[in-house]
Order: sequence, then C-alpha cells, then structure tokens
Amino acid sequence: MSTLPLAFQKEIVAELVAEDGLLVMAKGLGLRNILGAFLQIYSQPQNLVLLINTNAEEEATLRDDLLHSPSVGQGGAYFRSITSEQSLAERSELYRFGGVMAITSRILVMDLLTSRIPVHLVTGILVANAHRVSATSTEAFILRLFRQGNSEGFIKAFSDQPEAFSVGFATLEKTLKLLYLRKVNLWPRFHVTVTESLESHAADVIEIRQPMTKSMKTIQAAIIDCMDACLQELRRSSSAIEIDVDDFTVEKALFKSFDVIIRRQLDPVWHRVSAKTKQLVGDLKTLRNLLGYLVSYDSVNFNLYLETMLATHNPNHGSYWLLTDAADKIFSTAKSRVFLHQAGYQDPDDPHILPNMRPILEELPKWNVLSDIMDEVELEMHHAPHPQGLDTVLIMVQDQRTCTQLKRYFATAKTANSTRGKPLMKDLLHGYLRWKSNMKHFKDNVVNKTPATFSAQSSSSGASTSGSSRGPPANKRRRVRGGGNMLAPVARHSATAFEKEAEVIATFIHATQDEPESAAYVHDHELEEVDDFTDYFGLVDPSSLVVVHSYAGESDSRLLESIKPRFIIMYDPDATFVRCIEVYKACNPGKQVRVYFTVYDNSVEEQLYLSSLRREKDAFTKLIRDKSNMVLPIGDMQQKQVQDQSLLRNIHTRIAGGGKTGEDRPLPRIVVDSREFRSSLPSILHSQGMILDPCTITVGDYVLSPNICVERKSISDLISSFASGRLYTQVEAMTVHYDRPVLLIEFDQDKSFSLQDKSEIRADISVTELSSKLVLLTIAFPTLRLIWSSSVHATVEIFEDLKRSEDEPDAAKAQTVGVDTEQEIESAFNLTPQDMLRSLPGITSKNYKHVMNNVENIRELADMDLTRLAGLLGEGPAQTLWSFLNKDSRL
Amino acid sequence: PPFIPKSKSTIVVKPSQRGNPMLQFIRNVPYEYGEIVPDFVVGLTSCIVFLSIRYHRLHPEYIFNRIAALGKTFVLRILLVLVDVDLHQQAIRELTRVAMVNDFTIVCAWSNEEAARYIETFKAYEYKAPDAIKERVDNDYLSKLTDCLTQIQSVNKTDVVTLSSTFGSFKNIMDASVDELGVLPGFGERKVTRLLEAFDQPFAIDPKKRRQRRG
Repeated sequence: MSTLPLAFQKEIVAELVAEDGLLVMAKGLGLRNILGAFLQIYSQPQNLVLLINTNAEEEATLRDDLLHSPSVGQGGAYFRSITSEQSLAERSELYRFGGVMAITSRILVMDLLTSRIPVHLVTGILVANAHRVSATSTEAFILRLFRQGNSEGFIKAFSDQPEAFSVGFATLEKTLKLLYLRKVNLWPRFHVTVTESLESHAADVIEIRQPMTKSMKTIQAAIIDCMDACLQELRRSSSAIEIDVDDFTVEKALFKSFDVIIRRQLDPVWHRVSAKTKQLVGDLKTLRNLLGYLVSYDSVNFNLYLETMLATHNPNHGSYWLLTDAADKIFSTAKSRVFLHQAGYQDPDDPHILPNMRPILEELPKWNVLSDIMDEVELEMHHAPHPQGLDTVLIMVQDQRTCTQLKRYFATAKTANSTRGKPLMKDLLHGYLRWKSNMKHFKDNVVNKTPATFSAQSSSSGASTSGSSRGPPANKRRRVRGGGNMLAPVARHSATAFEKEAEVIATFIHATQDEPESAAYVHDHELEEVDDFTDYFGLVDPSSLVVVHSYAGESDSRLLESIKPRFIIMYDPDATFVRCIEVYKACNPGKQVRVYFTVYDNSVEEQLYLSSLRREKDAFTKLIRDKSNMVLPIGDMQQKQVQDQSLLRNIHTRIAGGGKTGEDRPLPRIVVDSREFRSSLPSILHSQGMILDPCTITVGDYVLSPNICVERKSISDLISSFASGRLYTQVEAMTVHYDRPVLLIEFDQDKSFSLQDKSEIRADISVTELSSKLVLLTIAFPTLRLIWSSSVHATVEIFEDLKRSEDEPDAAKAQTVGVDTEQEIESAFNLTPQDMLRSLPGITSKNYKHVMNNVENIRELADMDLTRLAGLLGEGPAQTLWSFLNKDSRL
Repeated sequence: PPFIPKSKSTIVVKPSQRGNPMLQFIRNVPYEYGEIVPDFVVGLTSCIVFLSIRYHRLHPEYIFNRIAALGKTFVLRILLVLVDVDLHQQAIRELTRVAMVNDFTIVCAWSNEEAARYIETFKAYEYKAPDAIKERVDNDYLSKLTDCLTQIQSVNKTDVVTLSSTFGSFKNIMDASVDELGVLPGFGERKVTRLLEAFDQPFAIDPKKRRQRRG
C-alpha cells in the first residue's frame, strides 16, 4: 500500500478493505492504482482471488504495475490471466496454485457450473468496470453462482464511470443488488479530501484559445444545420410510432450518449421503424463524427473522407442530409480548403499537380499554435535550463492519427518563406491525387460491374468498361469520360461529378507516371516519418526530448511518472488527463511543470469538453442523492428465490391445495453450447433452478432431452442467418440428428412482440420477406418445430414445459453429435475469423472446418499459392478463392 | 373421402371459415371452399389450422377437438396462431406444448393481413426449392468483400470501399501496416487493431492443437 502517495487514495483503499462495497470515483483520480493496491494485498498463494470484467489490455497494465512495485518483489507470479487459451487441466492447476486470477467471464461461468473451480475456497471477487454489470450479464451470473457456493468470500467492485449509474431508473440500486453489495463509496473530484490533496500544488497552466479558420467555421455551422435537418426529419417520421421527441435536440445529438438515448426510445419498435428512420439515426452519427474530424483531420484528408462518403452513397437509398443546401456547402467548402479550379493555372514548383488546379492547402490553425509554443519552450530552456538537463516536452493528442500527423509536421524543418506545414500539405495532396486515380479504377472495375448499385451509369459506359479487361487503358478511358459528361447535370454533388473529376486525375497521373521515381519518392518519404515513437525534431536542445502521445485514460498517470516532463502541451482537451496532471503534480510537489492547454474557440470541441465535466459532476450529485434514499434488502434475496422455485416444482398444480408429488424430482438438466454463455438465457435458466451442462456442441445451442434440440435465434440473428444461408444448414444438421429439431425465435423483452407491422406487408408475395423465408424453411423441414418466445423469461417457462415428459439429455452424447472425429470435440474456434472465412467465395459449409483444422489463420490462407489451395479445397473452389483474394480492384 | 379441388393451385378452405375477416386478405392465390378436416389445405401434404388467441381463451377445448379430428394425416401441419390479445404469453406457452406433442408447427401472425399472407405463401411456395435460404455461392466482388470484412466489428461499408480503393486487393489490405491503415480516413486505433486481429487470430483456440499441426 505504500505505493499510494496521496491521502485520499489511501483513504479509499482503507475504506474498501474494511467493508465490501462498490467504489465509484471520478476519472483520472487513479482507479488503476487503487485496483493495483488490492492486487498487491491479495497476490499471495494463500489467497484465491478472482478478478473479473477486465480486458487483456487492462490485465497487462495491472501486471506491469505489480511487477514494478517494490513491496511485492516476485509477487507478480501470483497474478495470472485465464482465458480460453488455457486447457482445462492447466486451469485446474492454476486454481490450486492460488493468488489473483483475472478470468474471462465466459470461462469462469463454465468452470463454476462444472465445479472445476473450488468455489468454497475462493477468498473473494474483485469486479472491475462495475458499470457494465447488468441483470443479464455474465458477471451477474458469476456473482450469483459464487454467493450460492460461498457466503463468506468478499466482493469488491470498482468503476470510474459515474454517468453510467445515473441514467435510467434506480440503476445504482439495481447494480448493487446484482453485485450483492449494500454499500457504495463515492469519490467525486469535488470530495473535500480529494480537493485538499490536489489543490495544494496546482500546476502552472496557460490556456490558449485559437479561433478556427473561416472555412472551418462555415463547415461546422453547415454540419450542425444538417444535423438539425436530420433531427427535424426524424421527429416528423417518428411521430407515427409514438415516441417522445423531446430528446431530439442538436445539443444532445452532439454527444455519443445520444445514440443510446435514441436507441432506447426506438428499440421497442426497432424492427418496425422505417428504413428511412434508421438511415436518419445513422446519419446523425456520421455527422457527429464529421464534427470531430473537422478539427482533427488535416484539410486534405477531411475532404478525402467526404469524397469517399459521396462515392459510397447509394443514390436510391441516399442519406437525406446529402440533399440539403448545407451539405453542398460542406462539400464545396471542404474542397476549397484543398484546391480551387482556376483555368490556365499551373503550379510553378510542382509538375505533379494538375493544370487548372490551384492548391490552397489550408493548414490546421492549431499547428501554428503548437509551433509558437515550441518556440517559446525553446527560449525558456535556453534561458533557464533544467539543472539535471531534464527538459522533456510531452505533447498529448487525442489519437494515434493526430500523433502521426504531428510527427510528420515536426519532421519538416521551418524555413523563412514558408510555414512548417507547407511541405506536409503538399505530400498529402499528392497522396490525395493518387488515391483519386485509384478510386477511378476501383469504380470502373468493381462498382460499375453491378449496375444495380449505380443506376446513374448509362449502359454505354457499362458496356465499354466491362468489355475486354486488358485493352489499352488510355482510349477506353476517353470513351467513358464522354459518357460521364452527358450525365453530368444530374445532381450538384452527385457521384457523376465525382467520377468525372477522378477521371481527369487518373488520366493525368497515368501520364506523369512515366517517371516512376516520382511516386516511389513520395512513398518512401511517408514511411520514413512514421517509424519512430520518440523522434528528435531538431527544434530544442538535443539533451531534451519531445514525446507525442495519445490519451490512454488512467495509463497516462504512468506515462507522466516515467517521462517526468517539464512542459506538457495538451493539443486536444481531455478531462481525464487534466486530473492525471493534478495527481502527478500532487505526488511530485517539487517538480516544475508548465501546462499549455489549447482549444478551438467557440467550437464543438470546446463545448464537448466543458459539458463532459458538467455531466460528470451532475452524475455524482445524483448518485449522492440516490445513495441517501436507496432501499436495499437485508440478506440474500436470490438464494431464497431459488429455494422457492424448487419447492414450487415439486407441488402438483392439478391437485387442489397443491399436494406434493411424492418423491423429490431431481433438478432438470439442460446441455448448453459454450458459445451461448454470451447471451443471458443460461443465466436465467440457472436462476430458475435448472442444472446447466456447458460444453461445446456442434449441432444446436441447447439440448433439452435426447430428442429435443433447440437452435436459438434473436430477430436480428434470424434475419442475418437467413441471409447467409447458415440457418438452413443448421436446421438441416438438427433434422438429421434429432427427432424433434426446434427453432426458437426469441424476441427481446423490451421490444414489441411482433415480426412485422401491418403497414409493412406488401401487396404481393416476395421471397425477400422474412415471413416467406420462414415458410420456405418449414416446407423444407416439416419436422422442424417453431417456438415463438416474447422474452427470455418466456423461453425459460417453455423449456420447463418441454422437458416435463422427456428424459434428461446426455452431455457426452450431445457433444459427439455432428462431429466426425473424436478430437474435434475438444477444439473450439474463434468466431470472427471463422465468420470471415465462411463468407469467402469458394468456402462452403462442407469445407470450412477442414480449412480451419489445417490453416492457422486468415493470413496464412491468403498467403497460400494456387497449388496449395487446390490441395486443400480442390481445383474449382481454390481458383475461386485465389482470384477473389488476389483481385486488384485498381487494375 | 378426400376433397379434390378443381385446380391444383387453389387453397381449399373449410366452409366453417366463411366469414373469417382474414379471408378477404387472401388476394394473390385463388381459394375455394370444400369439405376438409383442417381449416386450410395448402398443398398435397400440408394443412393449416387457424386459431385466434382470443377465441382460444373463450373455448380452450376447441383446439384439442380439432387436432384429434385431424389424427395423423398430413406431413406439414401448421398451427397458425393469430396473436390478437396483449396478454399472450400464457396462451402461447400452452399452444407450444400442444403443438410439440401433436407434431404441429406453430406460426404466429399479428394481424389478419399477416395471417392471410402466410396462408398465401404456403400455397404459392408449395413446390418452390429452398434456394433463397440456402448458402449462396456466387455474388459480385464488392458485396462479397463487404460481406467478409464487415464481419469484423465496427468495420462498415464505407471502410471497405476505403480499403479496397487504397490497397486494391484483399491480400494487399492484409499486408498493410498499422501506420498505413491508421492514416486512412475513418480508421481509429481500435478499428485498425480489430482488423489486424481478425487476420492474425488463429482459427483454432486450443493452442495444443495448433502446436501439433505445426510440428
């Protein structure tokens, strides 16, 4: 515990050691240190402490801290991570070994259910990211299993997201119940002890407010106009489906949390809202991203992103905002920041720039600010050097992209007649021109071959491109261009105009590429600059260092400790980092630190920063109020429920007065596929007193009896698995192996229980409708039974019913169903690569398993040559797959 | 004696269904009345028994009698349930059990229009091959590529176009470095990590098995 330097941190730990509770503290105050302190306390072989709900990254940093803490020494050895990578035997070994284990929740649930982990010996559980625990989450399931087998062990939960507990109805109270906790410790930034600790040694802060350029302001205003237009449209179109539209304001739409608000409103009817409404919701997200990109992307890449959006936009189901005047303004202004069309203009210095194109290349205003700050810092260092020569400058930015951008910016030397950004912008422009020419080939080769997506293309241009693929490109291009010209007046900023421009550039690039070194030169140049993490920029004294780093939440405090910067430049505003500086300063009161804080004046960026602070404060205020009037039950509610359940089961409802059925029936068993533990159904089945046998089964998700096998689909799963054809294969397999294959169609509890709205039924029968697909499925498999369940709870009841007259299933037998070899039972596969593999052409449900068993990953598969592929898949499919993987859309 | 309809392509409706408001929505497929045991015959071996939950709650014995009358005839036996009450959970639970025991497949509809659509579709698709719901083989390049890459969380259609237009082929995308990917518009750190992870993550989770293969 000696590693916690600040009084309030010590107090937090002491409080939580003394009594189990949920700790909610403000971001940046050192939650990671607190968690680290607990790991130090418990990482001894005589303890068995489980740390749940962390990700691999968090575990790695915690382990790192532990190894470096002086008081522990070799104690790090008693902190292990357990994931699906370890085998059963290895896991059992580790459990016996003791110490702290960070365990993947899905694994832990299965080990608890199968009693592989000695639950009565567990000292306690530490729950990280407690704000993510919900009634249906695996973590809640784990805690229930833990409490059933062990009433002594401790539970301590941690979170630094007060906002998460303040939304919704009685969220804090509900979470506490799930965590089996009765106490919550709140540590906001405005807590007296925190304030005392931090404010005695305030850092020297210089705040710089930089106005945006005129065109940036124009774009920002136009984006907000577009958002407003979308919101108005949303209000209009959603009035039909009875939702509360008060939340739909531009101010709220600026925040990510708006997506949550809107989804919560629309979710109950989501499968019934029109495609238009869904599109609007998506558009709002796109526009919000654009606002962020406006201040973080350079003008060239911002424009490039906009053009990609235009290129991918489908004119038939287009976004509403793209048709507004404001959108036009966004596109034209963004382009005017890069270049202008000026007849007869030829750039005097650069032959690679097109004729009639006058580069404007607006730089981001913050670059200049940064440059000025660096000059000032240099001066400072010169006049008052640090006694030990530790003059490190730390520049903090929001993401890796900005990091790279700034490194490239500094890599170019400043000259008398041009700013530092000029060469960089030139480079970027070259990149843009090359991209645009690629884009043209891409469109010719890929997009235009599917006339359905680009109806604007006339048949003549389609014919000319889809002709021979190896002909001389130059004259062919000309022909396409002719076709394009005819269609030009279709829309102001339509894809056609875009294509025409791409056309011109492609021709130009093709012409100038005769000197091959030009392209190669630019490319080399790019590579050189992004390779090193801590570049020396030739600006300041060599003994000092300039470090550009992106925000990483709590880990930043570690960064500050290790770098010990004298100057900190906050290029982008970030509330957590401000706290990290405060904590750092309080821990090192003697250190001189100067902080520069730059923000765009009157920008959305500034507004977001300020309101993030306000929202956190409001959240804490609400939590403090909630804490004082919360109602919590005494004792163990959940355990009693389960007992009641088993009592009810043994009472026969047909006998008046509820006579007992005589013998105590054994608890019903269900075999559950281990993949299903991502969903909430296993947790609820268990809470209703069923015994779960988790294992990997190939056919079906749940096996209720030797005859009944259930494949469970939510509505979205149902739609996607119909589309991919996977459902057909799954049902086919179930039909082969079980007498009673069942497809469970499970609706979400909070959503409406219906497949489609009356108004959505079309006049004629169409095979694209979900109902038609269901009909096809039942006709193809007459033995398939359907279960329509309005919620997870309804599913549990139906499962109980179905099991009543049936024998118990056999897990060992269920595992062997549909499996060719013994060893296949043991192996499980990662989902994302598996899904990607299955969507590749040439891969079918017949051969994908074979591929997974013989190839390491997607990369190895793509690197194979045709002969090896043919050996794996056979000639035909191998050819299909190989040409798909190697087809270059630009050639 | 089984009723023989005039044409092979008509739905046969039990006369007692006359007056069912749902019938007016059967528009795409012709129907005729005939003396049959189930409510609708929609194919040589398939039939439909129609039940509204509201009616079921008033006359719970009705459905049992109908099922008993039907015996073991027909291969595909559909119990078309019209969900016309709000408190449906108990009824559906009961019917699911009945259907399971008597080899019926439940299909739920929430309006007369929807129920009529199911009846039409069963008849119209009587001889239709299930190709529309089987795994498909051919598709155009971009949608295949989109299909594959959007399996990765947070990768969207625009990103696929960005990737394809920048790097050209799938293989080039795969060989792109973190930095090359990171500077693409619309790509944050997380997206880049997820993309590379999807390429490099082994198919098989079990490390022992992977070792075996290499050794």
